[in-house]
Amino acid sequence: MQRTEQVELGEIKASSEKSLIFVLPGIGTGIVVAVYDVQNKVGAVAHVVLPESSLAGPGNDLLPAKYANLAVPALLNAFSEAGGDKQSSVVRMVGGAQLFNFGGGGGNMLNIGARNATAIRAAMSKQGFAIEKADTGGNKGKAVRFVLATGQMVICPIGGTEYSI
Amino acid sequence: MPKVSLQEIIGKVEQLPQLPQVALRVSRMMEESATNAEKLSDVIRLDPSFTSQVLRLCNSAAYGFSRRISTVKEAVAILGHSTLKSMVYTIIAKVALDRPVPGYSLSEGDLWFNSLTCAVYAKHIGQRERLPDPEVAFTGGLLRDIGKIVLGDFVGANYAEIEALTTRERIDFLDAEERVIGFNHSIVGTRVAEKWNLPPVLVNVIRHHHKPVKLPPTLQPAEAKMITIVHLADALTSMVGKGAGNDGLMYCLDADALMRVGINVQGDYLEKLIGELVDLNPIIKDLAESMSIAGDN
Repeated sequence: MQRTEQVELGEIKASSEKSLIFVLPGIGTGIVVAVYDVQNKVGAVAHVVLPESSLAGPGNDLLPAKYANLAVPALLNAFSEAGGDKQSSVVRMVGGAQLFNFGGGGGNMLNIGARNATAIRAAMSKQGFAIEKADTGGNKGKAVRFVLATGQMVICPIGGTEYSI
Repeated sequence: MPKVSLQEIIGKVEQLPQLPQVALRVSRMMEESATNAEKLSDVIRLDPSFTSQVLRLCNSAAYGFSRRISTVKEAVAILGHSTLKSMVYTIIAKVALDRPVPGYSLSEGDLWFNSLTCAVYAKHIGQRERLPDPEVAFTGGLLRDIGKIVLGDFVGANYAEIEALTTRERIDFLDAEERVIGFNHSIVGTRVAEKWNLPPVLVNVIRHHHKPVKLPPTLQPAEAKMITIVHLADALTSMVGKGAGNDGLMYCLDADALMRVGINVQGDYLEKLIGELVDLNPIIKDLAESMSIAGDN
């Protein structure tokens, strides 16, 4: 029997429970990054909010996955602790949409979605991982289910049709 | 497809459910300066369900009182006028917004949670930007999208055309709604607010929260700033994906309007702000849960 567990913004969760599905209901400019051990069926997932922790104010760093540069090492650590093996693993990411535009003098100054994706790629590369599949960008929010039995990320664009990577 | 007529919109507005009468009465009393705490307590106590909701909200972690509040009289005394008012509107808003709105791809609870998130974010930005009364920004954030409960059916029937228009002409979802349907959810929300006799300050937030550039020049500076802050909170709520619908990110954030009320969003302002807002999410969850339990009574 399948069980679901919700992952909130800024959270990291990991498990080796094959019947578990991690549910991430609202993804905007943030990115859901998942690492999955295809042999042992162990998975870990993080919902990253912002690219870089250097802007964090005092007491403003409570969530482990808030910043991409800190989230990636913490995610891989949680993955290892749950029994995941780096050698048989793949990494996928979803999200990183962009607000339609900034009127007036704003231009596209806050392209957080794209910068999140770049920051995650860089942090993963630093740890020796490449991103196997990515579904990022656009102007639509999404929801994701990360299925630990298969490693699939089932993506549902808000108001759209489901697909998987 | 022909545009929707005003009569159809009015018909839908007339079909909306009744709001809790005692809560509405309290909200109106609170708009009058002569209302005293004793009178308010007496009216709140007339409705046991409303009383229970007020007490549960008071005792939720979001308000952070060190001791348990167990009577209405105590709640009215300790909360202060402004906080009690935003609490009363929270109870009213739950009745109005906690429903599915399939036209915007909002499942049951999505619009309510999205509105509560925008409210908490707007209050935080209001405090950060030294609004005289950040609780008004909370209430504005809470009720800004009430027009969606009426316009949802029409958006659903025309969604493909609205979305295509946003892409083809690079206009935001609100403008595309108006072009395709003849109305947008801000205009319709204004009708709803007037039907429910909400105070003028809330009618103004609902009317202008997407386009603060069109605020009437006669508006007091503090009110103009508050509405612009709700505009910012609305955009950031969509960006973090909290209960957002199919229109969510097709939003135009007006940097010039923000600059006009003294909020300079250049540089790292927005990124720092998002970092702060995300830390408020446990408070929002706690508020939603305390309301959910209260609603079950």
